[in-house]
Amino acid sequence: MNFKRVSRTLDPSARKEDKEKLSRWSGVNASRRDELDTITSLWEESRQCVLFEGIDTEADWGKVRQKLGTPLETRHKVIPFRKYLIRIAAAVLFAAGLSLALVMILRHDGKNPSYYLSFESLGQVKSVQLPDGSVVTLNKNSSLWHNRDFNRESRDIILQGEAYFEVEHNPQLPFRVFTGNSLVEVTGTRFSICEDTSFVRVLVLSGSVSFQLADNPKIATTVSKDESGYIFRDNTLEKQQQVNINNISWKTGQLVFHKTPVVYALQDIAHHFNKELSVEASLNDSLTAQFTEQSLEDILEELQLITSLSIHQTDNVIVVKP
Amino acid sequence: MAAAAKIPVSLDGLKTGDICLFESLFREYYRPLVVYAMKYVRDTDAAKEIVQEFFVRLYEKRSSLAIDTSLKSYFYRSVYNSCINYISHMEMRNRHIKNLAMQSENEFSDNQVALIELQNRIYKSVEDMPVQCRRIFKLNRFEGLRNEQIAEKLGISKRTVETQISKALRILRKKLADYFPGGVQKY
Repeated sequence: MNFKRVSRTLDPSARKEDKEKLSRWSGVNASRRDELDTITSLWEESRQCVLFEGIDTEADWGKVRQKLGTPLETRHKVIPFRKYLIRIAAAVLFAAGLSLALVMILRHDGKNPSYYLSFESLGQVKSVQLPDGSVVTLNKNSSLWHNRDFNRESRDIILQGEAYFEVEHNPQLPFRVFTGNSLVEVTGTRFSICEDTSFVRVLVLSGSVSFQLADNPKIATTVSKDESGYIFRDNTLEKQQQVNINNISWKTGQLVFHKTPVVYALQDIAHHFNKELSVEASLNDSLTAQFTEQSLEDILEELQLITSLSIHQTDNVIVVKP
Repeated sequence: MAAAAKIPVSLDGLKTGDICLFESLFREYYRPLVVYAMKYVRDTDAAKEIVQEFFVRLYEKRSSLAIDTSLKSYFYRSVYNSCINYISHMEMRNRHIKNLAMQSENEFSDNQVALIELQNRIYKSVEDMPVQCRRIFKLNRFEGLRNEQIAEKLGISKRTVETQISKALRILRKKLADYFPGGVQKY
């Protein structure tokens, strides 16, 4: 196909001679005619394509993305600094302890300081690998934010909710987690942080972490393996020489009881399944058992056999009767 | 009929809330769907609005979606329905406007969809052309200038314009080879 002659022929000022030549060429057989038809229809249809010109997919994707509204499930996204500040402000109001100075700590003067990455888990437990290789497992409905230059000048994170951390060792760049009014600082270890309405709890499974009030380094302690630390809403700190491994049952899928008073066991079970607990019986026994990835129904049935209590669940409540 | 867009079109991915997949679907289908909607609502802004709303709804109800046709037909069918909806709303407000939805040319048709898809592929191929080639082709096709006028406007020879136009046609023909079977004939 001589595209040059075709293009000349398609122009309104085409010479008669060119048209005739083309017509002679295409008259030879059907496949040549088809080919000429194809080019001609491409030519005609391309005129209609002007309609595509004024549509800015990029800009309109931005609009749609905004309308989606709902946070996205552990897909990282970039949020502008102002929005980020608003979130921090909300967290400050909530925690009533996080100072604005903290925001400044987190705001590094990187090349593009106004952008942060966030991860949200919504209704599912989700794991996120950070740029330094550390892995954070977010419990349901939890979020974390970090600066874009995470792992360059700092390893700072803000957490809302509950998460389990497996931090890569790096003594040069401490890993810091701001949760509510608390700050946990580590160089590399395994621990979990839970933000409750009245406290922030850290639970350490290996190594040790420094645990302090975010805006007052004087109120601080070291929490080591198999210990847990609490910072309460009134800015007091408390350390316990034990961990309740069932506090991270959401991550491990395991509920473990070893000579545990039944009432505590029931509390852990209720918490694990996000239920209320109503006890209408006196519970003096203790329980030794292990449940792995079992349904609430299964667990309650087993418990009834072991304790000879009557245990039932209604919509949101586990009811225990003699 | 040409192979459709070569992007992942698995609905399962969409159901898990994979925003990247959703974004690629948007990028693939947004433009042609807007052009398609414009055929019915004859208002660019309304068309954009309709298609954007469609994508928002699609994302929101992704988990309950049951699509038994191809994603592509589903997209066009949904946008078509939204357009008809829009038109009838407008009509209730402006009774003097003819009932567009009742006209046969406004019925949902696969041919119409195929045509938009073809135009979309042509447009994408044009966007991929070398700068000079694209510019000249657009001046001819989109702005309706004759080769001579283009030569004048750009201060180049008419021959150069013809060369670029033929180059553009060659590119189009090649890129849409699968759309129009039957090899390129030797002249």
